[in-house]
Amino acid sequence: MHVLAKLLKLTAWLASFLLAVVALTLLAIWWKPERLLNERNVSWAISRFAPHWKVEWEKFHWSFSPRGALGKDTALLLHDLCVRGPGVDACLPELALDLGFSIDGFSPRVTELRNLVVRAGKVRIETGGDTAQEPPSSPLPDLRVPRLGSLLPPQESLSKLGVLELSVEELELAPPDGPPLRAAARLVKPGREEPRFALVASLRQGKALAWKLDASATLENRQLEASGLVSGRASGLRLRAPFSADWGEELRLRLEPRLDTGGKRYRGKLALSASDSALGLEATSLRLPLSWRSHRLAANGCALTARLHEEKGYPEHSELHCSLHVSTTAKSAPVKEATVALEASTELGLGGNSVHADLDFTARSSQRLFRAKVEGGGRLNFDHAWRFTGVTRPRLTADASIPRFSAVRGLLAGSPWAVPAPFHVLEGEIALAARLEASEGDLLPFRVSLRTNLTGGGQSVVTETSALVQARGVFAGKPAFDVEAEAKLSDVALEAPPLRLESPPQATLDKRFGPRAPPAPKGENNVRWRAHVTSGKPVRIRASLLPEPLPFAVDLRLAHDHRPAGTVTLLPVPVEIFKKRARVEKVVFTLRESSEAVELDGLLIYRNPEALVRILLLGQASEPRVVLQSEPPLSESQIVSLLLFNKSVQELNEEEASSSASMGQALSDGAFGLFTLMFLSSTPIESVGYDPVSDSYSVRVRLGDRTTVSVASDFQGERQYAIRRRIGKRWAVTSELQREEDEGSSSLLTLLEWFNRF
Amino acid sequence: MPFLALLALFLLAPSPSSAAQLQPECGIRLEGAELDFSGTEEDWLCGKEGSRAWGTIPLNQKRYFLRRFLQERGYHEPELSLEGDTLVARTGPQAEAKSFSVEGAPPALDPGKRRRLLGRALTPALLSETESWLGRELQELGYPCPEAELSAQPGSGAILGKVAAGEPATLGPIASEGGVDLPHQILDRYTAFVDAQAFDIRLLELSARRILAQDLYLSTYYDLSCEAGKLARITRRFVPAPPRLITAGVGFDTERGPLVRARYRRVRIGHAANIWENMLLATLREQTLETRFHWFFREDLASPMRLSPSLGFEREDEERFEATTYRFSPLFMNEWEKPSLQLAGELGPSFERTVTQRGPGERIVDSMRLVGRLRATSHLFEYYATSPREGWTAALDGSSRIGGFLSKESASRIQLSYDLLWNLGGFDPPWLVFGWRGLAGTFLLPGTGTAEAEVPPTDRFYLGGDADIRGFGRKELPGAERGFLTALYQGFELRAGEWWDVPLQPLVFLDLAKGGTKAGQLDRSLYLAPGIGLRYESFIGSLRATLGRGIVRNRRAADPEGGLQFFLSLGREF
Repeated sequence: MHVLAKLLKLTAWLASFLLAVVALTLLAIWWKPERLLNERNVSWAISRFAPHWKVEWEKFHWSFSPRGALGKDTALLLHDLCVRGPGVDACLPELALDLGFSIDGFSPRVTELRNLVVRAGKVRIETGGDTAQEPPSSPLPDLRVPRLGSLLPPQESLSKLGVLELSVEELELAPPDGPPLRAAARLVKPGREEPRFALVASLRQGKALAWKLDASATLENRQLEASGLVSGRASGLRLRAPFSADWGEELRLRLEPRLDTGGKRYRGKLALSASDSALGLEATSLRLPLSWRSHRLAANGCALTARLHEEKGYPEHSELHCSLHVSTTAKSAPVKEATVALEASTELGLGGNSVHADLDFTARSSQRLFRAKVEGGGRLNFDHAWRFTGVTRPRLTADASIPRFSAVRGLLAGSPWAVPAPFHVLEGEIALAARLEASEGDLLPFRVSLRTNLTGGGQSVVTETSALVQARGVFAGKPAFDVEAEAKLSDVALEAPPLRLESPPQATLDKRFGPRAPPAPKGENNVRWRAHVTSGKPVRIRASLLPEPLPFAVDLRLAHDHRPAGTVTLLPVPVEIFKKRARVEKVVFTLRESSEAVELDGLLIYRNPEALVRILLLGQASEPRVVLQSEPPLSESQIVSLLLFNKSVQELNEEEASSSASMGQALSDGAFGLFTLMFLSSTPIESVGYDPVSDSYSVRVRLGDRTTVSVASDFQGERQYAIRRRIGKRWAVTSELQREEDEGSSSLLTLLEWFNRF
Repeated sequence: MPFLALLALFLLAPSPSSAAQLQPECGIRLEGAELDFSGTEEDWLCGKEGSRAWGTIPLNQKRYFLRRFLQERGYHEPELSLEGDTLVARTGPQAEAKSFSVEGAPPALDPGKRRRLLGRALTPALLSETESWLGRELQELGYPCPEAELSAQPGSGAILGKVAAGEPATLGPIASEGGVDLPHQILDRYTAFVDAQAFDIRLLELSARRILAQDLYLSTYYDLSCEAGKLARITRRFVPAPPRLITAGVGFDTERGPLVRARYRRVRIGHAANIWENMLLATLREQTLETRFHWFFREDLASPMRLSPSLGFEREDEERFEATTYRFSPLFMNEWEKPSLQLAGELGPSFERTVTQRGPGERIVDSMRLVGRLRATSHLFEYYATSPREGWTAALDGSSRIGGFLSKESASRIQLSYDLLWNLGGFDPPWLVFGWRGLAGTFLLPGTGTAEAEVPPTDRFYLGGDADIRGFGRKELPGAERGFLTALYQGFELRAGEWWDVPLQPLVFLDLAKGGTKAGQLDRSLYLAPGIGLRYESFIGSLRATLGRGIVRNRRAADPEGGLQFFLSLGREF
């Protein structure tokens, strides 16, 4: 114990001694700081503690003078200071610091900055490769802007700020690859009596990036007022933005940017206000070009206000009120302008390591052409890095209508999208509605309905379509849509293009001409659709060659991945066949997914006192095969002669018999297309010629004015070498190889002949 | 003259058409080309009066239709613009076909042989026509089921055909369908091919034409059924005809003047479908009345062998003689079909009485002859008979008068004749057609000197006329009435094919002939006839006009002077 007591006493003495030594040392340093902080010791310390750095100067002067009991004034002056080390090579021609400080507690505090001059020449800093960024402490940004006064020294210190000059002639940041980034800046406050600052800065990187800032500021009464111009270019965009700002209790920034991105020019007026509790952004006369050069989007009086979180500073509640004006200068555009009123509110919240935003929005537009309203909302979820992770409880309803189709027609008239005949005479309304139903995961199911109620010109297009549109991957950036539609043609009546008794014109461009388009690359089809089209009342098609409109029943299934399938049925209707009254019982056109061919199954009935004739249309629509049956049973030639000439075979003359036979063969061969059959049926036929080898035909039909016209496919081959060419009823040109016995030679005898068979 | 007026009407009458230029009120102005549009096209462009739905046509739809209608006329790149309310269409140049190539065709198909294609307006109709031509060419080359697809580049004028020729096929037994009321063996008499012969669509058509020529049917044709590019079946289809046919026809040529022919034909007699035909033919030079019965007596109905007795009279009133011949000749006839030709033979007696009103020889000559003829005709010659371009035919004729049986002396007449045609270069349509025809004939007479007197003028050789040496008038040679007992004729003609849109075909010819007033000997005179001519292929037959200059070398006193000679004929061919 005695030893221990002695040891403790010795330790106490020793500690007291050391404490006294330290105190005396610190006192000595405080008394004469230049004893420690001088050129020699600084050189020694750099070489001792930073051996990889090479620091040189031409002149080094560091002086201290007492300023009261606990204060000092110090002045540091360095000339031609050069610092070279790992990744850094910098020379500063002058560095001058003149300030006063005092000991406040145990730490020094700057009490007066009289002069600060840093003139840097060329500074080169080699930046490293990947640098891991520290994740932000909060995914939501702290947007609070503090009062300027809280950031500044006391007013009495500010008033003593003398010359301030910070300049760098060339700051070069050299990345491992790519051109270096060069910057220059100069901030000057001329003197104690002058409150204005001037800031000139520039930044460039190769030819791709060049920015300039030229600003001046006044700091008076703890209020900063600044104005200037930011201009430059980067990544294909050019910006010129005069600005002004004041910052006291809150920051107010007014900006008139003019942005040019590849020919698209954005301009407008932005006003930003920010404080430690609220954020506001107002855009007026903001013009934003859309995708098309001749289109403009203007935001008139768009205002975004946000209330900031009291502790974390993020915008916990935001509201947007915006009036968007879309206009175009394109001459061909059917709609020149549209105004959309947009209102939205958002509640941002933090949940663990994620962010959510409760969004509600409404967009309305009411024009002469159309009315539209879209309402929606939901909780948008993001992770801590602001990556969108999904939406919960989404809501969306959209209603759009074209109240007057005639207005659309008028607007589109003369444009490439003009409503074509026969639809251009329709009047009425088109309405579209969409509702988002309860969603699961990333599936967004929309219930869409489209209704048309158009009539005019003896026509009508009344339809109702409902569809379920299921969208997936919309928020993941890979949207895909599944559409199931049910369309009902409630009342459709249309007039077919006018036709005369002559060969119909070419209705579509012949694709055999011009360069063949390369097959479209088979990309991933992100829209899959199926539609079922049915008719309510029969669809009526009026054709100029037919006295009665043709009624059709439609039951078709269409899909993105297969051919139309289903039936189109011509319903019972009286018709005229070769100027004789008959009746269509049915003609069913059947389409199948697996085949391009359209199957035909038709029955027409013609009654006369002698027989009941059934005309069966079979085969394919492109080559309809006509089968003739009768009660009592007659041969095909007898039936054809009945149909064509209302005579029995025995009563036919030579040409009529030949025509009957040719017509019968052509009908059973499917030589006539369906259109040609309809065309031929609408007029009396004088004669028919048919060559089955070339499948060519020639039909002479009689018009009402006693004149005749011929309708023919390629009949050249048959004409050229025929031995008997019929040129009229019972008249023909006959050519025969003759043997001239006395002369031996064979010669051709050609006669214009009248003939009669019996 | 009425005939000429009728002929002119046929040739010159415009085809019926409702096409017209667009009216100004249509609101469309065409610049660059004057085009006519059909009534339906006008309705689609200008609107149809009275139609509520189609009364007016929106401008963009007018553009749409106008582009299509211009394409139909070969204007593929029109510039359409709006001037006020008027749609102005600058038609631009009409695209022309400048090259034609074919992919996938068998080597035998040479697209370079297609003429009258390059330089024409590049229209959908031209492509369709060329598609048909490709298919037709392949069907002639043995591929019955070809598929051809064409595309064209209006800018370069290139036409490219893609061909799937299908499988080659051969011809064989053919099924008959339709109103067949005759045993099919009867129809086989007229078949123009043999079993296992390479397919050629022309042989089917030729077979059909032979049946039609017999008036057995109103219409007959061969129907091809194809499955996956392969010939599945050939079906012969028919339209029955009533068995009796009366015809009355007129024709014309400058040699014989107007020509009238009346005919009564009764076919389908008996189960063998025998034929009885009666004919009256009258021109200013000749009058013929004949009745003939074709009796197919063999049990094999497919055999064309028949006995054909005929009875008739013929009066000829020529420059050099006038004679009337009464004839009864029961001949056996038969035909043999070979892959590329038909051989036809006739043999039998002929009982004749010739009364010479004017001319050499005895006034009345009775004779019983043995008549024989062997003729070979290529199928192509027969097929292209109405528009000659290639093929050949040759005939050897002989008739022998038997002395002591109605005639005092025996005498024989033999004659070889032929026609050959070449389509130079094998183009289609032909570019140049070269023809060569000839005749060589003489008598074999006993040396008594009386036999010649029994040769009636109708048997003697008289040259000159459209049928042989065209620089001299009809039967002008020899200058003397007695005619030649020996004759040699060669004729050459070079005729243009289809050179222009108008089917006019210029031609040059050279005819040469020699004759002998004695049997088996040729005199020293040489008759030449160079000349030019024009052929017009109208839809009622070909009109030929020739102008030849008759030249006589080593002229004898009796020979004519020669000079210019003009012929105009309807239907006669070289």
